Amino acid sequence: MSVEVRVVQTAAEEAVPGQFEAVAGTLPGSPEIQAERRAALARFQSEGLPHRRVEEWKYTDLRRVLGAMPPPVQPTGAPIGPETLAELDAWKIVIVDGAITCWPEALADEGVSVTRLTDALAGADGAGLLEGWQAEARSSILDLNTAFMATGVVIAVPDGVHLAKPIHVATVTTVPEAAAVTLRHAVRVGANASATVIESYEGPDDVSYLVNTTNKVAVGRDSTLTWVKIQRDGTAATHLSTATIDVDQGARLTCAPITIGAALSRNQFAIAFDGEHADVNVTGVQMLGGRQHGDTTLFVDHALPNGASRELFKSVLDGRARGVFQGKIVVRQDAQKVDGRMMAQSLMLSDQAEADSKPELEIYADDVQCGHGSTSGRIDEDLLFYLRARGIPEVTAKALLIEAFIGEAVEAIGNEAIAEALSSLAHDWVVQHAGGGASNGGADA
Amino acid sequence: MPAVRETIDQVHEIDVDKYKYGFFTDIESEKAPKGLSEDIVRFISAKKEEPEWMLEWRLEAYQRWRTMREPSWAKVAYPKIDFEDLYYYAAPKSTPAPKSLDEVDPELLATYEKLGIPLKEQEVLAGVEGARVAVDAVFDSVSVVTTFREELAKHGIIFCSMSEAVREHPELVRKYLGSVVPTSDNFYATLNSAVFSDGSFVYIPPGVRCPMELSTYFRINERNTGQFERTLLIADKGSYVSYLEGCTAPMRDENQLHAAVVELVAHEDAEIKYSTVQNWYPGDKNGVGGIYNFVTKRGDCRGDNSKISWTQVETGSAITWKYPSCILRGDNSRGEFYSIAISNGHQQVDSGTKMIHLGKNTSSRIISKGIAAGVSENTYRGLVSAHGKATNARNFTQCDSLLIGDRCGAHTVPYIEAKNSSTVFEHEATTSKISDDQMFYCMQRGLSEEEAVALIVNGFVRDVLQHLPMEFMVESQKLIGISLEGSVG
Repeated sequence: MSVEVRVVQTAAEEAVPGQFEAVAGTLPGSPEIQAERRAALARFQSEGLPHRRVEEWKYTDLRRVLGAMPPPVQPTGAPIGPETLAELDAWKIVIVDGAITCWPEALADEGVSVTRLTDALAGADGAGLLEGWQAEARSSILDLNTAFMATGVVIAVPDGVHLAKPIHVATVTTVPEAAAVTLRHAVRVGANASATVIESYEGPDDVSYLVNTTNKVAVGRDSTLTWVKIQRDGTAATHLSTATIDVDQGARLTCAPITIGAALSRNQFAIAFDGEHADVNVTGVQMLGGRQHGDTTLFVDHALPNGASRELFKSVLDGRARGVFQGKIVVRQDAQKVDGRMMAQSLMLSDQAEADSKPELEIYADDVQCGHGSTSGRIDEDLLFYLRARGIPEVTAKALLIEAFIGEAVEAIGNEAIAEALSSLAHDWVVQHAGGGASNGGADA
Repeated sequence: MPAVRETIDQVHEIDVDKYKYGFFTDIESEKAPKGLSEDIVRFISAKKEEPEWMLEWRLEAYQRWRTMREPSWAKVAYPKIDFEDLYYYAAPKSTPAPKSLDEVDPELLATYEKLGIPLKEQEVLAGVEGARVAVDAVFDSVSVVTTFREELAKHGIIFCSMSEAVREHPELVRKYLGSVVPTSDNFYATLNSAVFSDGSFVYIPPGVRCPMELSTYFRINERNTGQFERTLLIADKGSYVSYLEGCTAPMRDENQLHAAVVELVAHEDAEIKYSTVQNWYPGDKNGVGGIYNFVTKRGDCRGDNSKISWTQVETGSAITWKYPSCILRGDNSRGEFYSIAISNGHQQVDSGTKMIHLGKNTSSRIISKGIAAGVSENTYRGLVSAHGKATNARNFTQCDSLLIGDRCGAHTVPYIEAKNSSTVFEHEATTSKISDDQMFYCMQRGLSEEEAVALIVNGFVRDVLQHLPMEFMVESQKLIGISLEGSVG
């Protein structure tokens, strides 16, 4: 095997093998799974953490930024409920520090099967969780996840089942010092079914914990899945997320990644069209302040004809925050009559904020309509003036405009209860930041 | 504009035969062995009678090049180039020149005809023996150049070959050469720095508006500038110059690898307009042969209120790797990039621009039109970035791609980096095909399928064409039609 010899390993990279050996005996899974873990670890060791020389990680240099690799978390299992969407009427699964503390037994009555990752890995289809990942979702972060995955939920919605209430998988971290939580979930929606799945993440500020979470999603024929991911990890945390999503014929997927928390976050999605006439809607929101770094990387692969995809991505950046959006639409040769639209917009509230955007198109079929747009700028002075002329104070006016900017994406999710909850999260954030933006705007003049 | 027309007329008035002798140098016999070494670099430098500092500059670049690796990020695929198997100085002719037009590839002649190139000029372009002298007399003669020089010298403009500039204006060359594209810039620019053969040097003094469009076409010995061309253009305070490079006629060249470097410097209130038409040999129907065009072009808006505008029509070459860029250093400076890139057959184009906003109130505009046909790949790759102190930076980017046929690829890879809140960046890109309605409409009015495609494509690229100087524009319109031949039906 020709492995590139890396001269210097970072402290974070060096710590990984030792941490693995320390917990290897306790990690779930059959012997085959254990072998897969070791193979993944070997791949991680040869590749190391992604760095800026890897094109997909150009703006998020983990090698440089990730100073230390926290050790795997010791599950405490403290019975704590999530703050995020606490009021939402949903089937709740709560994971506290890597231990499942709340389980919706009654879901089985609805015909939906939920399985713990530990059980899934021990069973016959455990290997299925490791197979079928799209190339664009693979990275050494996924390998790291495969090596350490300890907790997770496998949700299967059978054919013809329409779930009225959303399933909410809440991940709460309470650790007092740095630890790594490694999660692997899977969501499978059968044919002619529908479901809403919400993932949420939260944890303490000032603890530099790490969440490495992955999800393997499949939407069956003519089914509908709304998948919302709300990330509100602590301000010192690192959040790494990878998802591979397959969309079958006639299926509709709405995918909404919302990033508010974590010092450093990376959301990587690879969406593939496995059937014709499928419809994919991605609406993302990123609200960052301080020195936060948020990266959302999206890959949409139109392999078959007659697909439609819409991506709308909004970033609001305050302080010295850096918002990254990378989106790529690929339309393969056979995928005629595809309609693909991608829009990434950044609103910058402070002079030190940075917005990086890379919307790519890779088109091999000629009978398609594809486009992308990207804008960045600050709050429109004319709009602000209009509102202020009507007696609205500057801070309120700014807040209104920011909420309106985000609102477009939130409304596109199409679920009223969720949209309302998200709007209130956005409102809280804006109240906290609009004031700061105002003083900055003044300083600029 | 009319200046060029005038120039051509002037040239034609001169009795060609008078200049048959005395200025045709037999450069073809001077050649260095294959491969690249310090000795070859010394040989090139010695041939050009360069001063010591120039040789040192080249050697430094050569040493650096040895440590560099070929870039692989572009979306182009080609067999690995063996840099030791190339001639770096005046490649010899491997086949004798054709005796008359009858011996020239009929396909090439047919193309000339469609472009409307006169017979005499066709002979020259095809390299027919004997014809060369006459045309050298027309376009490259000492006296013609003198006529130009006198006119330009009246305004204090320096327009000469790079080797001449190194000898006669060393202070200017030393000051500016490598100041925009440093020797360490990238693999091909570094290679160029070590072995560049020749190129143009232009200096426009303060406050001068260059009275004619400058063109490589009229510079002496243009045909032998070789594969590693180096161009340096300086517009001093408050000056203006428009420069044309290339020509619409198809160019066949035995050197497969071309790695040129173009550096532009615009001082305070100066404006540079740089137009390129590139139509080098794209290879045959099966994608065999064809030029590899790896070019580094960069303009530096060094002074306040300066402006650099790039316009390019890229139809030739098997592989194009080219990103004319603007560094907007001066406050209120402006960069523009207008591009038409057409790929057909097995061509691969990876082209775009970089707009780097450093000064305050800088603005830039990018209009890129990519047209892919056959089994070609056409990529737009561009960077727009505004640094923290570049307040009120403004960019508008529009890149549209048109696909003709279902076996080609059109790609858009923009990088947009805004590092302060006062920047306003807008980017939009679309990809589509020629609609059946448009085709039906044109064909119903009696146009053939190919004519209809050419018409529609010309409409598609109109925004860019209108930024070309007049005669380039007319020729380019024809060229677009020819480049797309065989892409339909």
